Amino acid sequence: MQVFYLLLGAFLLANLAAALLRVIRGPGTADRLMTAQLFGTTGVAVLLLLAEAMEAAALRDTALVFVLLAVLIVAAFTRTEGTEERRPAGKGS
Amino acid sequence: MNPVAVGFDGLLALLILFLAVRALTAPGLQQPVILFIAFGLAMALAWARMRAPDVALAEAAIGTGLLGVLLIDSLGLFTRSKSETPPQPRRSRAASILAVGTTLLLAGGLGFAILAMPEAEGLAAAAAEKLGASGVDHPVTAVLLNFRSFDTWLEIGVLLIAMWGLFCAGGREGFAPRATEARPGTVLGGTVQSLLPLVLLVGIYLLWLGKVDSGGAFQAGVVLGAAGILLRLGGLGFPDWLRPWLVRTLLLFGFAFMLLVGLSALFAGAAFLEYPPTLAGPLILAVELAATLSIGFTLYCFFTYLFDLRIHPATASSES
Repeated sequence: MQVFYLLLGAFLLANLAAALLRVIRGPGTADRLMTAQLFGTTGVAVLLLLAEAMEAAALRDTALVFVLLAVLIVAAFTRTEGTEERRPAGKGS
Repeated sequence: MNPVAVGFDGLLALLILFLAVRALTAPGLQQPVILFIAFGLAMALAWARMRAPDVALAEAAIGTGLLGVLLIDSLGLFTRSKSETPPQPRRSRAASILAVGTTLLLAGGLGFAILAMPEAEGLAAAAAEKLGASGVDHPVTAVLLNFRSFDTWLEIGVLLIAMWGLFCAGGREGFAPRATEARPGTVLGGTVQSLLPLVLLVGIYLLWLGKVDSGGAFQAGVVLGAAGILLRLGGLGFPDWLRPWLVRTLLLFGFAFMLLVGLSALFAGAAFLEYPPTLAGPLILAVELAATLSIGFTLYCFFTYLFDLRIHPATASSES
């Protein structure tokens, strides 16, 4: 069972690697931020899998903190964009 | 070690390396910031794999959550300013050589220090033996708040110095109480409202957890600070009743409380910050509580200060 959990974790890691393409290609800030959020969600899933695979319950707390603080990043992002009128998204960076 | 574990670790290591290189070399500011956040997450996973849940928790709270918010917010500072393109750091050959040289020198020095260390089995056995007298059940908390509490005290001091630096650079106007803004948006306002109690609860939970499991003052402080940041993002300004003296008291509280505990130990004839075994448990909890309060408040002030300087740039005369 532990091998199965690790295998699932590795599959999710591979997903993260694929998602990196969006961070690098962009084109807009929102695209990149969405990827960061995907990183957060997938990372939490990997942490929970690791907690089972390694029988380390403390990792669940780490996952909990991740989930809570990921919201903060999005909230901070909306405040940087929303405080003035949106300018057309620049192409590339 | 089974091959699946090796595969997982190898994939994670490659991901971390790639993220680090890319975060350093990517153009602009936005992409490196997001890559850096992803890097923190990957690092937390690596710490988890190395069976260091305490470090993973700290990395998740500080390295990814708090630093991510600060970086994203700073990003707003640059995209808002006059130029369309974010300022690119000028790279001169001399500076590069200096940076590489210093790094190599430091790496060499550290390598030498490690090689020159006398052979020893480390302090893990000694610490485990004395765990019963430390007043807590979790070895990491015992080391951080009892056996090596001096280090922890100085770490809180580092935060204080950073805040001091911010005061010096930005002036005191950044802390003028702000009127509460109109709700920035229904979704954000609602999120803040429903999330705030949860964040506070988790902060207190982490503080309490430090006695028996991974958790403790720094992680709890970060989460409580995050609650404050959430309020600021939701439009609640720096409150009126936080007079300057109260701000300073809250910033200093954790550092001063530990100093007081340490000095009273000195007067009682023990070493600085040495707790009597019978009182160690309650004392550690009190010190952690004070430290959590100050750490959380300091981090909240960091963010609020920078955020307000950005929203009201008129008060920042030192800019430009």
